This record gives sequence, C-alpha cells and structure tokens, in this order.
Amino acid sequence: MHLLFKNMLDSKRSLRFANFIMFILAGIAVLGTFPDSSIPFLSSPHSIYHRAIFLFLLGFLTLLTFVATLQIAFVVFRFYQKDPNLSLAEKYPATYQREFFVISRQISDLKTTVIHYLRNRGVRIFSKGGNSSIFVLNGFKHRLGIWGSFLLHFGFLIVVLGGFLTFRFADIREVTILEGEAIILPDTRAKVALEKFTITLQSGKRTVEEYNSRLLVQNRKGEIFHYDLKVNHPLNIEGTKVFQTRYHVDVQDIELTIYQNGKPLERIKLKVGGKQWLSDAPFAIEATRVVPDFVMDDKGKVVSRSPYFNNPAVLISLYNTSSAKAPIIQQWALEGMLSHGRQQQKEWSFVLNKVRVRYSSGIKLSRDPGMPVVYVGFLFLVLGTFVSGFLTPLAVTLQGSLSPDGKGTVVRINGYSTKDAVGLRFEIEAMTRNLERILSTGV
Amino acid sequence: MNIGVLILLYLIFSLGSFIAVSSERRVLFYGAMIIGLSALTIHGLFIFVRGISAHHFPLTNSYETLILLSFLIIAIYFFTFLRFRSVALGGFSGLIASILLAATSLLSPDIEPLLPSLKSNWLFFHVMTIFIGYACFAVAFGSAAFYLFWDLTRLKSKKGDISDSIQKKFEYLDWLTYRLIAVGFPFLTLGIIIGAVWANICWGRYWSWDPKETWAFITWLIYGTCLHMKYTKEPSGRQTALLAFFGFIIMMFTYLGVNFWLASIHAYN
Repeated sequence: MHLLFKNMLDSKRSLRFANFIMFILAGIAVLGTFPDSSIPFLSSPHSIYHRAIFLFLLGFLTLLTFVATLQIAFVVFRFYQKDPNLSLAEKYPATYQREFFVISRQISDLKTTVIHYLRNRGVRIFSKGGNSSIFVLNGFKHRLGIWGSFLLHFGFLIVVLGGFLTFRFADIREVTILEGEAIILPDTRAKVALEKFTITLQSGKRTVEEYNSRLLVQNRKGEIFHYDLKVNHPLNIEGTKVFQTRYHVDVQDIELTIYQNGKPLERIKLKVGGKQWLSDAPFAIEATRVVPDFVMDDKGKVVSRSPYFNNPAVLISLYNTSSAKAPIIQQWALEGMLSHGRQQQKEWSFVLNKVRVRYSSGIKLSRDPGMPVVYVGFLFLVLGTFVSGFLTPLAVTLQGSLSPDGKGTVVRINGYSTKDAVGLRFEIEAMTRNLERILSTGV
Repeated sequence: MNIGVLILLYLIFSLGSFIAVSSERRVLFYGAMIIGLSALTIHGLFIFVRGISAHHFPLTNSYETLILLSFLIIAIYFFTFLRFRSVALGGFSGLIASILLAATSLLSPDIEPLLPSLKSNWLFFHVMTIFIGYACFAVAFGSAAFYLFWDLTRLKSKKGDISDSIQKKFEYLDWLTYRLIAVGFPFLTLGIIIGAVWANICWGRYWSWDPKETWAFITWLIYGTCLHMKYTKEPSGRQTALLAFFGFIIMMFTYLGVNFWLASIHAYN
C-alpha cells in the first residue's frame, strides 16, 4: 500500500498508472454500449455504468486526478514564487540553448533590434540589463499557460463531484399526462394539467415542425398560468425543470357511416377492437385496425406513411349472425371517401367520418442539485483544455556579449519551457535563424 | 455540383503532394497547392449552397457531416501548413477527404427538414466544435500514419542507426502529431460539453450514457492518454503514433459506427 501511494505521488508513474486506468475505464465503457443480451455475462450492458467495478475505476481515476491536481497546484505555486534561489530551470523543466555570431560591435543597437524582434514574437520582456559590452534580456511568453493543466484537472474533479451529486440526489422522472388530466409536481404543491397536445406538421410535408404541450399550471399560491412546453424549450416550475420528451396517442373511438347498396344505412360510433351490432340490420361491425396515414404499396400492402393522422383509415370487418367469428367482408374506410374494395358496385361500403384521438404527453421532471456543479466543472474543463493546448509557457534569456577577439558579438539564447521540449527546440531554433538574419543583414 | 468532381480534385491534390515530397520539385508542390485550395473553395461553396437550400446549417445528418468533416480536414491541413510547412500531410489529408466524400455515395443526399429536437442554436456550435476536433485528429492520424510508414520501411530495410536528419524528421512528425492532438482535444472537449448542456435542455439530462455520448467519452479518454504520454518518461514516438492511429479508429466509430450499428438517440441519418 505504501508503494502504491508512493507511486501515485511520483508524477511520471502516476501518469502511466492514470493512463492504464483510463484505458480500462474506456474498455468497460465500451461494453455498456452493446445491445441487450449480446454479452453472455451481462444481460443489460447499459447497467454497467451503475455497477461497482465501473464506479470504482471512475472513483480511482478521480483520486489520481485529485493527487495530480495537488501536484500541479504546487508547480503553479512554485512558478510564481519570486525566490532568487529558484532557477528558471527548476520552474521550466525543458531547456534548450543556441548561440550565434554577429559581425557587429554595437551592443546598444543589437539590443534594440532584439527587443523589437522578441516583442513582435509575443515575448514580454520583464528585465533588461547590461552595459557597453554586454546585454541581457529576460522575457516570457504565454505565462498563463501554466494554469492550463491545473484548470483541466480541477474541472474534471468538479464534474465528477457534480455527477456524484446527480447520481445520489437528483430526482429525475418521466410522467405521462393525458389531455384533460393533471398531476402534482413532486416536492412542490404546483398542479400541472395538460390542456391540449398538438403536433404541427411542416407545410405540405409529413414531418413534424413542433410538438407542443399546452399546460395549465397552478402554483402553491393558487395562481394559474398557461405555458407552452416544447422540445428544446424547457420550463422551470417552482424549481422543477419540465421537459417535453415524448407523446402517445390513443384512438378513443371512430365515427362511421355504413352504406348498403349505395344508400346510407346507419351512422355509428365504435371503439377499435370492439364489435357492435347494427340496429337496422342483422350485422355486426368491428374496427379491426387503425392506420394514421394510409397508403397502399405496389404489392397491395397497407402501410402508414407517418405516425401522424394525415389520412386516417380504419379496417372494417362485417359479420352476420351466421358467421360471428369470421367476417364476411373486410374493407378499409377512409375519411370522407367511399371505402376501397375490388368492385365498383358493392353491397357494403363505409365512410370514416371521424377518428377521435386522445394524446398523452410524456414529460420529464427534473430536480438536479448536481447540474450547477457540473456546469462549473465544465467551465474549468474547457478553459483548462484550451489554455493547455494553445499556451505553452516559455521563458527566454538572451545574452549578447562582445566576442573575445573583439570582432563581433556572440548572442546566446536560452529557452525554457514547462513542457513540450521538442516544440521549445523548434521555437528557439526559429528565433536563432530569424535573429541571425535580422542582425546580420538588417532585414 | 457533383461530389465526384471534388473527390477527383482531392485525389489529384493528394497524389501531387506525395509526388512533390518524394521528388522535391517545387512545380509539383505549387500545382498540388493550387488544386487543393481550389477544391477547398468549391467545397466551401457547395456547403454554403446546400445550407441556403436547406434553410439551416448543413450538419444535421451523416451525409452533410461527412461533407463538412472532409472540408474541415483540408482546411485544418492548410492552417497547419501555414505554420508547419508539411507537404506530405497534405497527401494524407487529401486522401482521407476523398474517402469520406466517396462514402457519401452510400447515403441519401436529400435535404431533410429539421426535427424538433434539432431546432436549437446549440446545434451549430455542438457539431462544429466536435468536427473541428475530429478534423485535427484526422490530420494527426495522417502524421502518425506517415511516421509508422517510415518506421516500418526503416525496420524492413534493417538499417541500424539512422542519420541525424532522419531522426529529426521522425521527431518532427511525432511532435506534429502531438500538436495536432493538443489542438483538437480542447475542441472535442468543448463539443462534448456543449452537447451535454444541450442534452440537459432538450432531454432533461446532461449525461445518460447513451452510446454516442459514451463513445465520445471513450474518444476523449484515448486522446487524453495520448497527451499524457508526452509527460511520461521517454515516450516512444512509435507508441504515440500507434495511439494516435488507434484514436482515429475509435473516433471514426464514434462518428459513424454508432449511428449505423448501435441504437442511439443521436442517430440522425
């Protein structure tokens, strides 16, 4: 255990360990995305995210992140310390040095040109020194980049904390409200009734423009408000967030006109699946099946083009007293039209007058104390990744001194970086090339 | 406008870049660059025109996002070129873009109206940031692939020590892969976070371990591991390249595999 703790504190080893945990976590997370019953030992793969092994690994990764955050915080603290005994090399682990010779003995001119160049390159000069035979410049670039790693890891911790609060304390539930019915929101005394659920289709198309639940809300003071609940437009009712998630439609009954030999016989109302005897003839009618958007394909099979009641049709079965079990006729009845059938002149035909439907709206109710915490964590995470990815702290020390033979000036560039040693090398080499060109040619 | 024309232009750009690298002829290099930039401009216009026809940003289904991703890969490559001057990467980027555009032939090009769940201002920011991240990873994949190809060639030729210049090239490719991942990772993070915020507004839950969300998290973990590797003791360039290669495969599964093979509320095809 002591060795494990020691390894965790050793930043290089703990990073490798963290990588290992991340890999295992990723592997287990993959399992959870498999379809149900596809894994022999796991009938419901999605449940793996609530299982001990996954939570343990996530917790362990969080612990490693916590240790890392403390280590990084210490590094950031040391970075800003103005301790003269703390060298640049201690603050910036990566170092690189180059030097070149310039045939010029005008130290002050060289210094001015170098300062101008460094400033154009985004390096902030914080100290200058020297005399007629030597100049020293110290500068840094992207100093704020030191915060990137800390913000990122801290943000991850906050997100996990928020996730834990959600897991433990959130009350998220889905409820279904029928049109005309009401529910009481949990933890409040607010009553919510669904006045009407409407589906608006795109003009001339069979696709949905929007779903709208028209809600009537009575708060604890007894005040009544109307709200329109739509997808992507949640409501906040006394601290409970309300979201439009799904809907369901039930066919209540249908109204049908029955024609015999072209003349209207009877107009009846019947429920789907229910058999009803006609009052004026010894026959029974059954509405066997309802299709919301009737169309017949090339093979004569009836399908629905969409789930919306654009062109409803009902399959009508007609029974007589001697064949109560098997229908003598089965025909589709459409709205406002005589029903389909193989023959033009038929004894029986049916016209669908009305399909009465009742919608129920599926809404999600949410009281989640973890959400604001997670959002704060997200902010730190985003800031951290961008600062870390785009700003690599760099310190530069430039020294120009007259060469021993007095024929020119030796310019020495020392670069220091907190990470990315290769990038530092490229940066210093690019500076060296450019400065050498500028100082030699003046261009 | 025919997607086939774009595919052809990108293939010519890719081939031209590869030949320019091997032959070190400037004429070929300039020619390839001109073709690449022209193709990118036409590509951008195509996306713009589709957006005008659809009355929304064209990034709502697999067809549109394949076109967007291939555009961003080439755009990211040219940004990279401004800074890092890697011509070979253009070859890989052009090839990847062509393959992605060719994949659109398997999908319907019809412009579909937006579903109610997609009618949100978050859509543009979520998709764009994710795909900028993906594009960076795709270009990093090209760099990693080039590294591995060279490494494999070197191993097969059984050359022992390599010269300084070759060693520097290997180092440069390794560093380029790292920088591209370091740039793509924040965008992926931002895209996932915007997605979580939007999911909370739309579905009432910022994270529900939906397959798309989970695989995005897996992609995030893999690339996070890749970045971590740069801080561990003496990371091998080959290891980083292999991980970047693997990360790209995971990323492509997150993008396309989940839509077609797993049941997800994110499957907008």
